[in-house]
Amino acid sequence: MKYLRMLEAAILCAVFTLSLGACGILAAAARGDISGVVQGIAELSAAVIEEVGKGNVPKEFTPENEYFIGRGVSAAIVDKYPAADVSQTTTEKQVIYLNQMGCYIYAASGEIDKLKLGNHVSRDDEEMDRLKRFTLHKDVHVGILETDEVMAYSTPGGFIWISRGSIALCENEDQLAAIIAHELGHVVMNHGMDAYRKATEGKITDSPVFKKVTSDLGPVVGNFAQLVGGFADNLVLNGYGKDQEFEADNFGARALATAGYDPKSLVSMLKRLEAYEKAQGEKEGNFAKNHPEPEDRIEEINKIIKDPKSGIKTPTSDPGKVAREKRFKEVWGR
Amino acid sequence: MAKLNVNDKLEVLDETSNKSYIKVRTAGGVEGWIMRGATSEKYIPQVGEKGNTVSEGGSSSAAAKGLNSQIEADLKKNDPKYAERMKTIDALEISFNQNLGGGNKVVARKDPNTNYTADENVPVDPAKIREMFTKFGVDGGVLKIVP
Repeated sequence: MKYLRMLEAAILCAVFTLSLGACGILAAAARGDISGVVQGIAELSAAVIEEVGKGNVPKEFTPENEYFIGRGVSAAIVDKYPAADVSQTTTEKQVIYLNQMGCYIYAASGEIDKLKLGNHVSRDDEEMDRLKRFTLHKDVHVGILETDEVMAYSTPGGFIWISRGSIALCENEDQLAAIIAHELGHVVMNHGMDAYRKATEGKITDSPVFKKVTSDLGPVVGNFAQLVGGFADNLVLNGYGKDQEFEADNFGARALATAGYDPKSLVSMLKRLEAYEKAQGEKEGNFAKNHPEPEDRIEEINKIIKDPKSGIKTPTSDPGKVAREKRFKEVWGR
Repeated sequence: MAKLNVNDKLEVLDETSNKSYIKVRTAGGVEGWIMRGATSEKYIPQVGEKGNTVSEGGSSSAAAKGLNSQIEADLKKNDPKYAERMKTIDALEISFNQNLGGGNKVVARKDPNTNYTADENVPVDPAKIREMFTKFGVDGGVLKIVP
């Protein structure tokens, strides 16, 4: 007989009174957001916070460090939500498609001037300098999570995980590209590692979230693998801050434009999400508290797209639409 | 329907029928489905409980130094479960490398401020991957830059 512990307060859907579908609706409403989730990185810092005091934690992490942290976080994610099996032909085809897209948008995003992303996230000169030097140890890697929940995660080192639920929400390639571009924003703007650094520098140790995180980590620091698993327990409950979400949207819209997609596809994706959330009911839990509402994000993105100073150009024609529809259908079967 | 609190103990009745949900029974006998991710095999001490401070385990020291391939290898060696999970990540990377020609520093971002340094231990095929994502852009009729 196996027993589990609840990680959070929740409503248990009685099997005889509510269908599994209803449970799924409740679950999705509690977590429903396509934005990246790497607040959990801060939790890792809890384990090393004492080492910081001893001067044992480097302020500078190499791209290789970030890559291996990303692998550790990814391992924890796939422990909670099974990753799609790439040995299956259909899945491999889908993953290849997503990785082609991720690499393509990432390559195009190199044209983006990070100084023009607005003032969503305040950074000192040292952080800006670090941001300008950002690079990945390896390529962008995009994986699929076998869950109907609507979610997408990004980690340091360029790992992006998109759920089947999120993919199903996309009507076309452009909307899928919007999710990846947004997640790439978290990666390229180094939000995960920023959280890590701030935590190790003690800047956020007074926050209620961090105190809870530190508390949660206490019993599992004896083993790093358990440590990663420990903060993954909170990973899905706490996302980035609202400012970082807006910044990732800003980056995402620009990345879509430089990659040749219509940046408005990010708006259309968020409208899909908004409609989905409304259909599921009110959001609950920490996730909702930490994330801006889709309508606020849509408003911000529209401001950026319409601002002539932003330099974002929306395509006036779309000669590749038919080709993208065709390959989207070939890969996803719809 | 039942309200559950943090650390409530749940008996697992079915964890194989569905990938996202598991069927459980509460101490009060209510059966139902709960998100897999909302549960843990571990007891999670809350703020103020005894023993919830961060210890000085060897792994935290390792983490503090920053992860690298050697530390990851040590972790996998000492923790079969961690090693097993890491296979999934490896599978993703292997698939990527086999199909897309991946490796280190193969995506040439047009950022003059970026300082590229290659890791010689990992196969690199920048031409192949550049060709790959360029083709993706061309085929989709969206390519505006030539890497």
